[in-house]
Amino acid sequence: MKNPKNISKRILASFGIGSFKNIKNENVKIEEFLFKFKRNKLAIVGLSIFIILIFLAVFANWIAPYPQDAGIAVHFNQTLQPPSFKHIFGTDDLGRDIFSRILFGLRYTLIAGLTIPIIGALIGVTLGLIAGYFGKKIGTVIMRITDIFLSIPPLVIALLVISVLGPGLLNIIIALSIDWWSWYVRMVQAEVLVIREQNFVEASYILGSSKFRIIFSHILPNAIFPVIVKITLDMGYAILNVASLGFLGLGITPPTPELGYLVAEGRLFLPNDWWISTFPGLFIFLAILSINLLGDGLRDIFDVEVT
Amino acid sequence: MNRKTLYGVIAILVAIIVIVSAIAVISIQPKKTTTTTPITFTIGVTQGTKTLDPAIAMDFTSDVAVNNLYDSLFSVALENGRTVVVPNVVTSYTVSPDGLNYTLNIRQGILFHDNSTLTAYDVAFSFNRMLTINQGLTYLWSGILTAGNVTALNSTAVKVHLLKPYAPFIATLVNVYVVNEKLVMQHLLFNTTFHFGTYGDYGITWLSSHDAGSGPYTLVYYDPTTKVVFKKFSEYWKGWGSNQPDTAVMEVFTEEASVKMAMESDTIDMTDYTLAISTYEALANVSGIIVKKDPSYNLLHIMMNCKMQPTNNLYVRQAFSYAFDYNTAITKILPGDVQAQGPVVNTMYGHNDSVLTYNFNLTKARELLNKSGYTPSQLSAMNMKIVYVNSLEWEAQIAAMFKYDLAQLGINITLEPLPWMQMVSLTSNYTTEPTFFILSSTAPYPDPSYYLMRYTMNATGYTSAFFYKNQSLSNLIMKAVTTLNNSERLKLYGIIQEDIAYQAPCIWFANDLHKIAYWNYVHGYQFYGVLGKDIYFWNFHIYKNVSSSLVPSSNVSSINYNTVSSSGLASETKFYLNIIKPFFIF
Amino acid sequence: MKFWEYVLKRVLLFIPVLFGTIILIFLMSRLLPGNPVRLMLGPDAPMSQIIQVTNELGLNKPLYIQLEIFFINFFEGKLGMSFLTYRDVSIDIAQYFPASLEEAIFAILIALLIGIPLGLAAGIKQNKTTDNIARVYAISGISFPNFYIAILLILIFGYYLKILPISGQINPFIPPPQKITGMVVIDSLITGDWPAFVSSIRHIILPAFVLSISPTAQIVRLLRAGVIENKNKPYYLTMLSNGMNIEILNRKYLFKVSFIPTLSILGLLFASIISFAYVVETVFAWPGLGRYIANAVLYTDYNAIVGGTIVVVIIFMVVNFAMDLIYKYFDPRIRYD
Repeated sequence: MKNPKNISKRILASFGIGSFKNIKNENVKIEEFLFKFKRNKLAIVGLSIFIILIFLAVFANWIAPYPQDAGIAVHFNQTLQPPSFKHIFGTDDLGRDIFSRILFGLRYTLIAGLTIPIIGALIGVTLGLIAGYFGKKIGTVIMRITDIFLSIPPLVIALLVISVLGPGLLNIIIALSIDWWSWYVRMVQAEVLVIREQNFVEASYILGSSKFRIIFSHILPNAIFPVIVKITLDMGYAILNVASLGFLGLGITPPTPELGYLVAEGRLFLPNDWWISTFPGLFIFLAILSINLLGDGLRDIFDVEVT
Repeated sequence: MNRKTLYGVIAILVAIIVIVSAIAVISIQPKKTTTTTPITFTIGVTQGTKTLDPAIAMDFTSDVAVNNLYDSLFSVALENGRTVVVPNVVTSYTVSPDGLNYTLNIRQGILFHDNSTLTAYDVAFSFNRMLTINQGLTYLWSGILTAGNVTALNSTAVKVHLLKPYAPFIATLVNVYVVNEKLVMQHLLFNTTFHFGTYGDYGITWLSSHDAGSGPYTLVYYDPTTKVVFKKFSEYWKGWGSNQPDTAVMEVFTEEASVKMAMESDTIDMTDYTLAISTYEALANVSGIIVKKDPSYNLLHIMMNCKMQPTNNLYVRQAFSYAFDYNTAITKILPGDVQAQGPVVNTMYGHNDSVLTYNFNLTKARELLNKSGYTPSQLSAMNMKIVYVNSLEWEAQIAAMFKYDLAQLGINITLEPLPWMQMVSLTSNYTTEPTFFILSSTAPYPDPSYYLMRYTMNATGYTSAFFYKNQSLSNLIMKAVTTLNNSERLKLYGIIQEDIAYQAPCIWFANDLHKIAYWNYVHGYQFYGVLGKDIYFWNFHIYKNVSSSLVPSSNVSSINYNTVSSSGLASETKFYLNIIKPFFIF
Repeated sequence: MKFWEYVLKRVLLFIPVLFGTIILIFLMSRLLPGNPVRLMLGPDAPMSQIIQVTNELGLNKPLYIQLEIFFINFFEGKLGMSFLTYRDVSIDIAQYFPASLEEAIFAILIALLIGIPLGLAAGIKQNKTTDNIARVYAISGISFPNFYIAILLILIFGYYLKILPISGQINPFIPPPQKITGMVVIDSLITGDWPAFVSSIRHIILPAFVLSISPTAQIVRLLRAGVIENKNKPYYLTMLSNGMNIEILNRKYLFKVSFIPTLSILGLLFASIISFAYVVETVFAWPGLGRYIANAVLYTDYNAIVGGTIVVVIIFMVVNFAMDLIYKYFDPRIRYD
């Protein structure tokens, strides 16, 4: 039998995924995990920043000096104030404290960033498993449908979903997840193609395991590592996508202070009232940076390469 | 990687950066202005052009292009602070006593851009073409004039036969432009989307991107999404003076921050009127930039859905009308605007100055709510939405403010910013129309009937999406519009406005101020109330990089509507403001 | 001849995917809310006008007939009239596609120019300072919304320093060069139109740079990973321990091999830029395909949506196919099911 590792690498490489090595049949030892993690300084930095952001988001209610500004409150007597002691990040065009809005906005941004890739992964992994394992006809059909979805501009899908379901963060999440799954299908399908040729899978089959058992207890755990890494890396892109939709004015219902939306809204005021756009942007930057560093760290640990 | 290779790559990178910077620096050497340097003018607009076809164009950017490429039958001017209609291609006219037959006399000596002569045949052709195509502003003559009823008697006179008398008819002719009949007929296409028998597509495809006009400027380059470039037509019939632009450009900036930067850095000479108020304020702070403000016919209002609960209840609507903070709206959000009084703009001749006007009075609002039988919690549970264009700053602020105002009464509404097209789609049926819909609309002609026609039974445009239909009101409006006697008509208008104001189908909150920013070396800008007509390059005299002794003092005149008295009636022989281009947001 | 069999099979698969996409997008665009005719005709359009134009545009016909008409036009090379520009969509695309192509080419060039040295350095000096700096730089680029970066750059270079223009493809007062490829920079170079060339280069720098940020990050990441993987390979370690000069070793064996995964996504990156750059194109008023499609969607311009998507599909399929062919050519061991 030809060396599956090389073939898999080429196949995955052709889809732009890069290969993954070290099929782990054993559980990764905790100490090994921690050792590798500590070695990667940037990953630690990423983790710390991320934990701080989560802390800020969770306790926003207590930390924010003006929590009602993240809601419907408007104060026309203090619009467009630069950063000061009273409002450390200034106020926006409706007089709302930007710092408070950022704290609450972190919640929405982090939630969106997390759920979109996860939902996309759930759908994509399932379809990828099916396509990879059962191959031939079903596989081709699924892959071609995936090709179609990959080519449709995400904007069309997003707009369609938002107009059918109405605006709002939840619907944006749904809209973007629909476009996200296609990338996971390709990745998982290619991996499954490789894994199913492995000896231990063949052995399991000969021993009489049902197809589902093979898929879930043998193939899935081995296919899952790149998926996990990709999810973390995709979180950054998901957040930016939500911001892009905000740029077009789609989807978020005000006064929801989602960070990407704040940056998009506030760009009108550059450069004079720069704080409206810049500070939310800064927090987006920290969120995505930390997530990416974490993802890189995870990737190094699992010895997995993923785009 | 080999260290040498790394250095090599870095060296190449540095070299590229140096070369590019050099190019950049060389290219920005200021050019010295000599008398032979062509005078240029650039206006930055925020939307692309849709078509250059005068029969179809109805958005601002297309209108500007058409107005400079073509000549209209009548045009606008300012006289004593008042906008009047003046002869243009038509020099004079006569009308039959029953008001059904007009004879228009056509000016001699106008040349098209291909140097052929403009005759009455071209006029008749252009008007019939517009009526046949039946897009754009042709709806103004709906039921009044049909294609084929415009005929050229000879090369200098045109006859028009109306189905009904129509008082503002001459005024509407400001937007009939003359196209070169021979040129258009050479470019007919068949088997396309639009077919008009032997006329094929009537030149719609060709005219959308080509020039068949006689106007002061010719078309040099056209790209609907980026720019339109114009060049002076030296044989223009009005003649040329000094310092008028030789080349003009309408450049599209899709990002408002870019327009602001371009304006401040003097990359463009003028902006359009669509920018956010904060942008104009920022520009006004730059020395050398003038931000001109003129009263306009733009009515800002919130339409309420009069057919669905709870706003089908009169007391609820009136309660909401008392729950809107008009003062904050016109001082903080829309500084300079005037509070609206009723369904017609205050600046319009025929406005009823004593019409019922609501104010911000929460006590009264609560009283009315009690009368209506709805409690605040019931109302909050009904999922009332306020819909507005997501990219318009002032709309977002008004919506947020109103939501906050209603919250004082314990009523919760949802803010729903949408793309414009989605908003329009909601208006087609009262079941999809939201409870509140923010809209601005500008009258296309100087008669209150524009604002009142939307309350008739037949009105279907989205300006009528409040769905208030009342047969007797509608009859009254139709009677007023066909009444030729001015004083009687105004009396009827007054009664109609009073009735509508009481019914409160909309919350009318402001009469908007028209704002535009331009550099002080641009002289000759005037706002006529008609959108698009003010950007007439022929009017502008550019004194950029010219020693100050050569610059004439600029007399910037504004429109002063206060000369219209409410008690007396305006003279019947005067032409009034012709605002034909409706304003709508994209 | 298995290779040609494979090529033929792929080309044949092309067609159903293309048609599937066309039908899907056609239906999806009709599902978008909004009545384009009402939008076209303005706020006060009476019913008679709306009905007349709706019929003229064929929008009153049942969907399958509209689809049929579309395909008939499609085979004649026409994509239908755009409601926003009153021209056939094919003319619009012929005008805006080269602009997108141009910015994609420059963006990828910049990404390679910056990304390759960074990626290699990061991989070789794994976990040392160089590596960390390179990675943080690359990731920072994709941690900000790109429109923010775009506006920031315009502020710095266009507004404060005034050395680069604010937006557009070329200075509006400089006549565009003769149209050969449709790409302004290339055309002005070919025709020797120096003012146009300088102006277009100055205009393309910022948009291309902003578009290059995301590809740079991915190139750095992949290249670094490739280098790390390959430098731990037995053959490499063997040669190293046998005393081979590390510089020659890297140049001859490491670089090319590590670059393969990067090469594979280059095509996809290129295709993505051409198709989805609407944010950057909007900020810079760059007349590209991404902005055209985004506008079409926002204004329910049916034919433009379908036409634009067709182009995007074809681009992706061609790019994928080309990449796969290159792979197949270089490594005949790869079997595709």
